[in-house]
Amino acid sequence: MDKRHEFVGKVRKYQPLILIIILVLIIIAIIYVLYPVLTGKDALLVWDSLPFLLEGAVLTVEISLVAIMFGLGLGIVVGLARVSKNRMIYGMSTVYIEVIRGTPLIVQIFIWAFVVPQIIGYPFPSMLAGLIALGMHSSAYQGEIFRGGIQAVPTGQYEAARSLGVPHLPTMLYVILPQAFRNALPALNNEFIIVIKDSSLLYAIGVFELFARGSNLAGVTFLPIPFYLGVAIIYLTLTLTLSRSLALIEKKIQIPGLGVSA
Amino acid sequence: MITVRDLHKSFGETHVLNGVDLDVEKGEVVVVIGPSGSGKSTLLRCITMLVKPDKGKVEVDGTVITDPKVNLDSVRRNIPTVFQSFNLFMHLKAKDNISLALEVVLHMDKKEREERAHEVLKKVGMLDKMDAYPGELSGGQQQRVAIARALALHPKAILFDEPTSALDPELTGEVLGVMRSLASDGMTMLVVSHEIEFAREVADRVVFMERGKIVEDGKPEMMFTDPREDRTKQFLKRFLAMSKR
Repeated sequence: MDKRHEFVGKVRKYQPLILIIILVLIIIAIIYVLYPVLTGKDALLVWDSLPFLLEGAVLTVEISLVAIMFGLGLGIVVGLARVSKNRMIYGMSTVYIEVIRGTPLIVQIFIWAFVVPQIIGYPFPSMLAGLIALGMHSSAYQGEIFRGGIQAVPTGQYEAARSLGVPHLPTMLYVILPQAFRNALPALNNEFIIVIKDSSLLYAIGVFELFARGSNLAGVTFLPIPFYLGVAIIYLTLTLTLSRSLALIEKKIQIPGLGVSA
Repeated sequence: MITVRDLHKSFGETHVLNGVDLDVEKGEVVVVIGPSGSGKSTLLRCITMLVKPDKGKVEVDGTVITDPKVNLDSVRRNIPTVFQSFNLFMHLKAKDNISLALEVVLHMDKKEREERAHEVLKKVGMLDKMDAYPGELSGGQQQRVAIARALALHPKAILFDEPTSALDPELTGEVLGVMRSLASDGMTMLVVSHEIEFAREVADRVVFMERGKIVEDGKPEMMFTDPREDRTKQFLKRFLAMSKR
């Protein structure tokens, strides 16, 4: 093992530690910003509203998880459709992706919250509308991620399975998708973070999640500094936790003997 | 065992197969030689219907595989292919590469699959590597596992598509060794290869292909010492001169 490898190995070993140090530095910086505010008589007010903010954070986590799962399930279907030889299925999935990718998420959220209920003549909760909008939006992106992941699996893998008499569906299920999923994981990680951040847009249709609460508090108390910065820190904590855990999974399911060890 | 009649295949303007007739009898080892682009690999791919031929008939053990009504999967498992680039399932251990088809195709239970995996890995001398992933194996070892994977189906014949062309010269020996032992066990084999030495020693028949047609077909001793056709002579002369270098 040469010097460079040793160094890389050490960085890898202490990666979580380094990350925590960075986080602590960020927090110290933020507290410094907050200090003048918190030392005044507003400090108590800010402190007292923390549970209220954290409740919002829990809601944000719930919304994000549901939307990510919804997007993942639909995304796999869309991704498979995009590599289908059936012109119809391919065409439909392409249109789906282009429409969703080509319109702003905020517009889609309003369509689900206001346009669709009016068309079907049946109101549904803004939370549900938001989840559908967020999940579908993500499914288009995840579909493209899966398509890329599937196409990155060499055709020889498919042919080998078929030449052994394994039918199309089991070949996709047991040979192609497990490898495609590994290929897709880094990009999926990115997409999941985007979903967490995008969930803040639901404040616009009255879902009282983290950002809505922070914004509300900032407005009522005339204290934008602690609340907007606080909200940002909470989002950062959520996204960092998610991306770090996924990076661990990535490492764990890495195929031995393949690629650079990450 | 395998009967090919008047097989045609074009990719766009290129006629890759121009009416191929070929018979492989049970227990026979047939080696197909010929220059690059002569349609050897396409012939194998058409026999297993990985590529659909434009015209012609392929019969495998009494089943006409070119008939659109035939269930391809049930024929294919009798004539698995060993590929030039091994194509082992990269996310599965050696033994799981073997048991996947046993489970999905033959519906064997876990114990049977393990026994079968043992049996074939032992046959190719890879028993000690059964828990290794393909990425951890050398090319020669990967190809031996690929042969074991084909063998595990207890097939009626095995097709080899240039099985040693992606290997270093020092690794071809171990793969050819396994193929030799299969041949001596009486396995029916259709081999596309540039290994003249292997063809000379192991083949029952050697087939020379050029421009999508079979030019000559005969016993190896005759093909390599006294071929009838001028084109075969030219190819062998060029080829042997090249491989001596």
